[in-house]
Amino acid sequence: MLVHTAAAESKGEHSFSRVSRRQRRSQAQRLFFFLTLFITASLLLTSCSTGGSKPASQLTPERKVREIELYVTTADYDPVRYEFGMMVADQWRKLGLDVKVTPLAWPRLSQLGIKEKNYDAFTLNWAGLADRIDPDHFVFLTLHSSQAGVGQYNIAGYNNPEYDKIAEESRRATDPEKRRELVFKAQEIFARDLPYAPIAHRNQLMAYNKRDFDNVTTMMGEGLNAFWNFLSITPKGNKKVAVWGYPSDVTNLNVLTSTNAHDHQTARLIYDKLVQIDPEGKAIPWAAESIQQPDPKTVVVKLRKGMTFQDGKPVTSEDVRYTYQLINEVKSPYFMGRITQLGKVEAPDPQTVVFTLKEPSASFVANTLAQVYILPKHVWSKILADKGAKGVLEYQNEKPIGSGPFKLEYWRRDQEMKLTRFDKYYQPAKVEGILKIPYANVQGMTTALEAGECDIGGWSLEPGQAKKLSGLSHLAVLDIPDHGFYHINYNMRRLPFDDLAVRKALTLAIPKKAIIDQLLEGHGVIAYSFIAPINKFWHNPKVEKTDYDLEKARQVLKTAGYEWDASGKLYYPVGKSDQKK
Amino acid sequence: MLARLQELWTIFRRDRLGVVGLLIFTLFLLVALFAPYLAPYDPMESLYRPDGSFARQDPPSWRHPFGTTRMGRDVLSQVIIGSRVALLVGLTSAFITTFIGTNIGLIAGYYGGWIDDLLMRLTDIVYGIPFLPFAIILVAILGPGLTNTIIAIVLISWRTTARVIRSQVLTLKQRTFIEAARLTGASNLRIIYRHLVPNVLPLSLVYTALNLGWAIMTEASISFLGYGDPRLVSWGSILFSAYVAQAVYDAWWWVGPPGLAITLLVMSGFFISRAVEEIANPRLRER
Amino acid sequence: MRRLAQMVLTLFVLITILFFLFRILPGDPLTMFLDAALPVEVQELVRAQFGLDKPIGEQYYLYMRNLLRGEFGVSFYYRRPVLEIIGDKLINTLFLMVASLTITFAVGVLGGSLVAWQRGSTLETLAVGLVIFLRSAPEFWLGMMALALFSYRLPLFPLGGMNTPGQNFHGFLEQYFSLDFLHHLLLPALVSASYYLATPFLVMRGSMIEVMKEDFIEMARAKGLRERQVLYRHGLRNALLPVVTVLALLIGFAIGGQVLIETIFRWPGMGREMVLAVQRNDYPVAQAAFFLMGVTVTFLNFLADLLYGYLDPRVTYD
Repeated sequence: MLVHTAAAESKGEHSFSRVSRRQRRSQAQRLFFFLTLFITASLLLTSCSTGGSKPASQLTPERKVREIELYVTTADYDPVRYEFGMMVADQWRKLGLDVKVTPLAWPRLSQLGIKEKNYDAFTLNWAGLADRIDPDHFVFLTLHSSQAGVGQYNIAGYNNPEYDKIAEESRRATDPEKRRELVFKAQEIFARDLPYAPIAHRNQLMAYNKRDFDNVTTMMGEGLNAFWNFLSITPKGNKKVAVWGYPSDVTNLNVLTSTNAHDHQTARLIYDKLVQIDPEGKAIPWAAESIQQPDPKTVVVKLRKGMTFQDGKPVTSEDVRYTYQLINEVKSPYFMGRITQLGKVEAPDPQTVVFTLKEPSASFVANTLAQVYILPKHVWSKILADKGAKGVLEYQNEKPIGSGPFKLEYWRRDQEMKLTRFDKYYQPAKVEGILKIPYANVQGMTTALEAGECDIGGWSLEPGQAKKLSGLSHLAVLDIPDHGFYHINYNMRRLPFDDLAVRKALTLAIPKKAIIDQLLEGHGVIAYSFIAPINKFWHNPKVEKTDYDLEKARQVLKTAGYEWDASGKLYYPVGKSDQKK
Repeated sequence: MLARLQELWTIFRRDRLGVVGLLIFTLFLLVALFAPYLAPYDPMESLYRPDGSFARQDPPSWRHPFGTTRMGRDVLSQVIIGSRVALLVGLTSAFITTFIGTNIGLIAGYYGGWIDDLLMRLTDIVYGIPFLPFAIILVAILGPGLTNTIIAIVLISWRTTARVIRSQVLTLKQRTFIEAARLTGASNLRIIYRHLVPNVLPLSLVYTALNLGWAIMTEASISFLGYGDPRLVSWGSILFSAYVAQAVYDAWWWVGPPGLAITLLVMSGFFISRAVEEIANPRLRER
Repeated sequence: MRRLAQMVLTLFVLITILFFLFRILPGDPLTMFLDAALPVEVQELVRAQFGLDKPIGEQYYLYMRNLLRGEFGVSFYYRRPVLEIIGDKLINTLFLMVASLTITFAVGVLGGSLVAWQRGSTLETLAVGLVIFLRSAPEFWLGMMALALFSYRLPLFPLGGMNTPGQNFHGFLEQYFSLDFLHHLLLPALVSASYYLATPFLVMRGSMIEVMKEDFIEMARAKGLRERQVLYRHGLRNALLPVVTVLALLIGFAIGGQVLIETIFRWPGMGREMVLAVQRNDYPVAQAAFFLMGVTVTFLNFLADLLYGYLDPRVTYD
C-alpha cells in the first residue's frame, strides 16, 4: 500500500511535466539544445508550472541542501535496480531533498561509481559469487579504509578506525569461532554507521526437469549451477545426459584468462580443485585429503591418492605447485587477485604441497585454495615454452585436460558443448554427461524448459515466468536464497553523506518491503547487514534493523539540527553548507 | 496566395491515402498536445485493483482499456504520453534534417565546382554508413537520451534530401528565370533563397514527411534496444519493457498498441509524402 | 577508377570516424572486464595486452596497419581474435538476408507489375496501402507479433534460433542445408521480406506505369499481341531495370536492419553480435562488425551507381 499512497501524493503535479522539466535542464548543457527547446516548448507549453520556493527568514540560502544525484543502471541491464532507484528517489524527495535520478549504462556506472568514486549515491548489486561466501570480501574489501582507492571496493569511502581494527583482526583470526565473533561485531558497527544501505537479498528462481531427474543440489549464489549439482543430479529413467541451459555460451575455457563467472562455472567441472565450498558455504578438503596449519603462516596440503588427469597422467603435488608458478609468470588476470597473501609454494614429495603465507590469513583456504584449479604441468609447460607468457593468455584451450568430474567431448561455439563423465574421478557423477546449450537469451532458455528440451535452467527466471513454469507437470521451480544483495552506496567523501544522520534518514526512507513485494514479487528477503541470513554461520541476526519509516527519518534529521522551509525543502544545521569547502 | 493554397489542397485531396495520412497525423498531434489531459493515469504510476491487490499485468478492462504492465502501469496512458516523444523526435529531426539537407543541396547545386564536389563526397561518405547500427553506436557512446537520438538521426538522414535537392537545383539553374535574376544583378544568396527555395520547397516537404516517418521508426528502434531516454515513456520503450519482462507471448495488450501506434504514425508520414509528391512533381499527376 | 578511389576514401573516413568515436568516451573500455581486486600492476598488464596503454595516435596507426593485414584485434569479451568471432556470424547474416531479399524481389516484382496493370482499381489502393503498412510497422514489432502468433500460439515455427539445439551436425553443408535450418530460417526471412517489400513493389509499379506509356508497348499491342504477352515480354523486361538498381541499395539498407531482426529471432548473425558487443563494451568486435557492414553498404552503393550508369546511358561518370 505504501507506494500507492506515495504516488497518490504526487498526483497533483503531473509526472510528465516533472520529467520534461528535468529533461530540458539536462539538454540545456548539450548541443542543439535550442532547437529541441523550441519544439519542446511548442509541444509542452501546457505543462509548465513552477512553484517558487522562498526560504523562511532564518534559513539562509547557503544552508539549503544541494540537489543530489542518484545513479541507477539502465532498465535493460537490471530492471530491478532501475525501478527501485526511482522508488527510493520518490521517498527521498519527501524528506525535502532534490533528487535527480540518472540511469547509466553499466560500463559508465562502474567507471564513475566503482573506479573513480565520482558520484553522490548509486544502486549496486553485490553478486553472490562463491568467493563472497567467506566474509572477507564484505568485511574487509568493501569497508576497510585501506580499500577506498581508485578501482577498489570500499566505494563509500568508509573510514572508521574502530571498524578497521576489527576488520584487520578478522583477517588474521584463523580460529573460526573467534573470527565469527569479529565478523558479528563488524556487522553491528556497519548497521549503525550505514556507509552503504543494504536493501534486499534476491532469491534465484531456477527450474529443472523433475520428470527425468532428481537429487538436485542447490547452493547460495550458484543455484542449480552449483558444482555439487552436477555430481548429485540423478537420472530417473532413460535420459542419462542432462541438458544444461544458459542464456549465453562459455566465452573462453582458458581459466587463466577468463574473468567471466559462467566460464568458471563450466571450467570447474573439467578442472579439479584442492578445496571446494560445500552447499552450506564451508570450505572442505576435496582433491586434498587433508589440510593442516602447523603455524598461522604455513598451510600443508596432502593430496588424495590415485588421482589422474583425463589424459591418464597422474596428478601430483608438482602440478599444484606449477599452477601457482604459472599464474605468477603469466600474471593471470583472474587469479592474481586471489594469491596476494601467498608467499611461496613447495612440493616436498608427490603427495604434499606446502604453502607459506606472507601473513596469517583466515580466508586463504576459502578464497585461494578453493578458487585455484589444478592444471597439468605437462600440458601447460609446453604451451608456455611454445607461446610465451602472452601466448598462454591468448591460448584458446579448446581441448582442455583436467582432473575434474567431467571431460570435454566437443564444443561448437554458440551451439552446444558436450561434457562426458570422467569415470576415474574419485566421486563419479550420476549422469553420463552434460549437454550445455546456449539459448541466446533468457527467453530462449525459458521456452526450452517449458518445451522439455532443457533439463537444468542455469539462469534465474523472471517471477512471472517462474509462476508459469511451476504450473507445468514436468518442471520444478526452486526459490533459492542468495548471499548477494542490492544496496545503495553513499559517497561519504561528500556532503551531505558525511553525516550519519543523513545516511540514517535516507536509509529509513528506503521502502525495502515494497521493493521486494513489487519488484521481486516476494522472492527475496530484506537486508540489514552485508551477510545474508542464508549464510548462517556468519550472519548476525541481531544487528540494528533499519526499516522504512518516513516519520522516524524526519525525526533523525530534526534531532541532528536539520530544518525545512515553508515549501518543505531541507536545510543543513546552522554552520554547515555545501558552499563551504 | 489563398487561391494557391486552395489549389494545392484540391490536388492533395485527390490522393485518398494522402488524406487518410493527414487525418491520422492530425489525430496523433492532438493526442500529443493534450496528452496529460487525455491520459487516465500517470504513466509511471504502479496501480492497484479495486480490491487493493497489485494490478500486475492485467488484461484489458474498462478500468484499463489496454491493460496494465508487469509493474502495474496503465498501457493506454503510456501510449498516449508516448506520442509526445514520437512527435517531438519525429518533427524535430525531420525539420532539422530538411533544413540541413536542403541547404547543402542548394549550395552544392548552385555553386557547383569544388564546393559541389566536396559536399557530394561528404554525402557519399554518409551514404556508406549503415543507419541503424550507427545510431545505436552513437547513442550508446554519447549516452541515451532524446537529444542524442535526434543527433544520430540528423547526422545520417540529411543525405537523401541533399542529393535530391541538388539535382533539382541543377535542372532549375538552366531555367530562364534564374538567368534573368542573375542578369539583374541579384546576389547569389538572393537567387538561392528568393528564387530557388520557393521552387524546391515542395520537394523538400516530401522529404520532410518521409524523414518524419524514418525518425519515428529510428527512435522506436533505438528505444527498443534499450538506448532510449530512460526517464521518458516512448512507444519504443514500452515495447522494450515488455520484451525485457518476457511478456511478449503472454501480454498481447502490452505489445500490440504501442507497435500499432508507431505503424500508424509512420504510415501517415509516407502517405502524406506521396500526396505532396504529386504537388511537387506535376508529371506524376498526368498519369 | 575515380569512383573506386572515392569508395576507398569513404571507407577510410568511416573507419577513422568509428575509431575515434569509440574512444571519445571518457574512461577505460576494459573496466567491466577487470576485477577491481586485481593489483594495479596486473590491470596495467592486461591493458597493455590489448594495446590500450599506448597514446591514441599510435593506437590508431596500429589499428589501421592491422586492418590492412586483415586483422581486427582481440575481443575484450571473448578474448579471441575478432575475425574468428565475426566470420561465422557473417555467413549466418548473409543466409538470412539472401533468403529474405529473394522473397521480397519475387513478390515485389510480380505484385508491382500486376498492380500497375490494374491501375486505378481498389486492388491497387489496397495493395499499396498494405505494403506501406508493412514498411511502416517496426521490423522488431512485426517479428515479435509473428513469433507470438506463429510460434507460440500456433506452434508452426521454432521460437527463434538457427538450429534446434543439441543436434550434432557434421560440417557446414549438413548444418546449412538441413530441413531444420530451413524451418528456422523461414519466419525471420518472411518477416523481413514483408518489411522490405514496399521498395521493389512500388518501384516496379512506378516503372511499369512509365514503360506502359512508351510507344513500343502501343506498337506491340497494335501488332495484336495478347495483353499478357505484352505485359511479360515487353513491359516487364524493360521495367525491371530500375528494380535491379534499387536491389543494391536495398541490400545496403537491409544489412543495417538485420540488427533488429536478428535480435528478435536470436539469429546468431553479425547484427546481433554488434548489438551485444556494444552492450558489452567490446569495442574491437563492435568496430569490426560495423566496418564490415559499412564496406558492404559502400560497395553496394558503388555497384548501384555502376549499374545505373550501365543501364541508363544518359548517366555518365566523368
